[in-house]
Amino acid sequence: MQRRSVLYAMLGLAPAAHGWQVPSGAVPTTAAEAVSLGLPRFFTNADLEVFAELGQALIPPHDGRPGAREAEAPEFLDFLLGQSPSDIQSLYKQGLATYKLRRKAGLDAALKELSEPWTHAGPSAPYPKFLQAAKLAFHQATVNSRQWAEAMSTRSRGAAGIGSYWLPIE
Amino acid sequence: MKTEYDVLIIGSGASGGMAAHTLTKLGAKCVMLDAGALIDPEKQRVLRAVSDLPYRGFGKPGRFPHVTQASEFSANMWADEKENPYTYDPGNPYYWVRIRLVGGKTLAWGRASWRLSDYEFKCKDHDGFGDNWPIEYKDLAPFYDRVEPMFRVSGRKEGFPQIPDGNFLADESRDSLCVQRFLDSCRRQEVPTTKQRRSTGTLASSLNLLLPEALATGNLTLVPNAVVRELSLDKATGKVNGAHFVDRISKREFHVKAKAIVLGASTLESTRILLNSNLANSSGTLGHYLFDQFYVKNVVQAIVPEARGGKAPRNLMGGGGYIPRFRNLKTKSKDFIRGYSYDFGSGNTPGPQYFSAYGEKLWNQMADAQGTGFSLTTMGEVLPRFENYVRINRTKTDAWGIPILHINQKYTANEFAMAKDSMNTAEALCKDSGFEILAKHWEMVPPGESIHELGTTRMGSDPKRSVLNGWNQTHDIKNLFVVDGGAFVSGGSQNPTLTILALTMRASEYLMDQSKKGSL
Repeated sequence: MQRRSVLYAMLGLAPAAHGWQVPSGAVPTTAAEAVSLGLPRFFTNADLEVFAELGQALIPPHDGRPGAREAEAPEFLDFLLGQSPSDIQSLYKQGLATYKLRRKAGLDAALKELSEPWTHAGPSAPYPKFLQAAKLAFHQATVNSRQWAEAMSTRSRGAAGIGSYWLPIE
Repeated sequence: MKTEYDVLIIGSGASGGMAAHTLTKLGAKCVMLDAGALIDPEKQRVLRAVSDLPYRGFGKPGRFPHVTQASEFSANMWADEKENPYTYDPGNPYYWVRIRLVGGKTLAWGRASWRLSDYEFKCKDHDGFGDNWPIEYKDLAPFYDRVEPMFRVSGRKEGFPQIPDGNFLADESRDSLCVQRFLDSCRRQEVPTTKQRRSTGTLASSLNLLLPEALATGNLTLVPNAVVRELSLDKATGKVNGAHFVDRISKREFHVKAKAIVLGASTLESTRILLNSNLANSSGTLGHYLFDQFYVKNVVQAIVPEARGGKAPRNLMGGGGYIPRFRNLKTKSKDFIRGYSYDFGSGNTPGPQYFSAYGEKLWNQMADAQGTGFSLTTMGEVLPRFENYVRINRTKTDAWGIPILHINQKYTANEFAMAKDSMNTAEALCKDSGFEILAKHWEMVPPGESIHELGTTRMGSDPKRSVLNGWNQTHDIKNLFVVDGGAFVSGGSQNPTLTILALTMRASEYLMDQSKKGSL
């Protein structure tokens, strides 16, 4: 029970206040588990599947390492977006809606803006901005996943993303 | 608190810590108030895998809108923005980056330790803009000499007048082949280079280098979690006699008495305390002349082509260095005054944002570029201007009911021209080194983000145009000193901490001297 409280405290959430019911005895230890235990969702199930398809196109499995889907990056980002500022939520909602329309013409057509050269400011139009944001988010969520760490642990001891974590001050 | 102390020190970072170190060793009974908790950095940190963090390294959304330095690993170290709010005009953002812990920002500083020179202290003599400091390099040099060994600064003596040599641990490290190529290119284009000058050691903080010796004298009382509301004034004498503060946790109000006060709460917090106290502002300049140093992060991201595909020989990649200011020293630029410097480094792997690809192609391009990177970051001088200022926002308070700051700082044409020049110069140097340019830009980070905020209680010879005299003593109140970055009249492009430490040591010794003479 204490561990669950700690998790919710770290997430900045208060389950009781929001009326969420966590199954008795279940203790979430990852964001994906927390999602499966009834924490709020951002995308509908159908949209989440499209989002996962996009994620796998952007960050597929490679050289024995997991892709976005294997790393449960879509579920994690769904959880993250559920808490994100409204402008970010709007970017992803509208961006995914456009992606659904564009992918009817094929994946290359849907993602052609990702071939534009890099600029510091990034794209200004909403859809290219969404694609660029999604590419970076899926990449980070994948390489920072437990699945990635496990795959890399067989190759290098230093590749598991270990860092010095500051505990809460009080 | 019933005891009357000789000196009240507010803040425990570079300036507060050095004040305590100097004053207690000279025999002053000091009390130090710090708004944050006293922590043991070794026990406060644990090793964690990023995959075990709740947000996979992204951090809690919206927790630190202005602290780009806050990763999910370090998030708990930075001052909470909701408890410690500030305001700015929409469209003119200011990123105020704070740590509220005993030791202050020295718990996390970049450790770059450069001296200022008379190009800064006598800047107006050089180009006619702004004001000279009331001191010269020779006034501060003896204190730099003493501070550098305390902070174990390593570096290489070069004889460059714009970054005077110091009392260094000699850096005899060899350069990698790609760095040697870059240095050759700089020589051809008459751009100076040197090794980094950094404070060394596992921890290089006030917490381990200054406060333990101060406490060991038995002359220092450290009070953590003490949020200062305002200073108190003896109206009969016109001198400050203590401070009102709030316990951060219980929110109980206290007062502490002292014969003299040293403010070292950080540039903007010290100014906030003075503004809230309505003190030391006969000049009308308190809060004005706010400046910092602008950064252009990764102004150029290049690739060393021979390292592509994992083919770099063992000594090709790695290491870096520093380019001190080289503009407007002996010649004059037509587009801007003053100058900028660079940090450069090699061996990084460019992130996915730089590659116009996705899927398998992205993975292949990133693998090909792994460990091939060569990048530079620009640090530029920002001109101090009266119209860049902080004031008290009378409509809002922090978590302890203390009025907060409204901050107004904008970069101007001089800084923009300098940033653009730095991009073009970095590109030319990289190309001449045989590197491929992957990306370049001259977009400065918002004011404040460099964490080098300076000014707002500036020194000066004229009490009508400055807050402090040449000894960090307020013109208005003899027993009140401000020893942090607020005292700076100009800042160059050198990281300011070493100068803050030297100024504080000098001011503290002066305070004791004046106290003994009965002149405070």
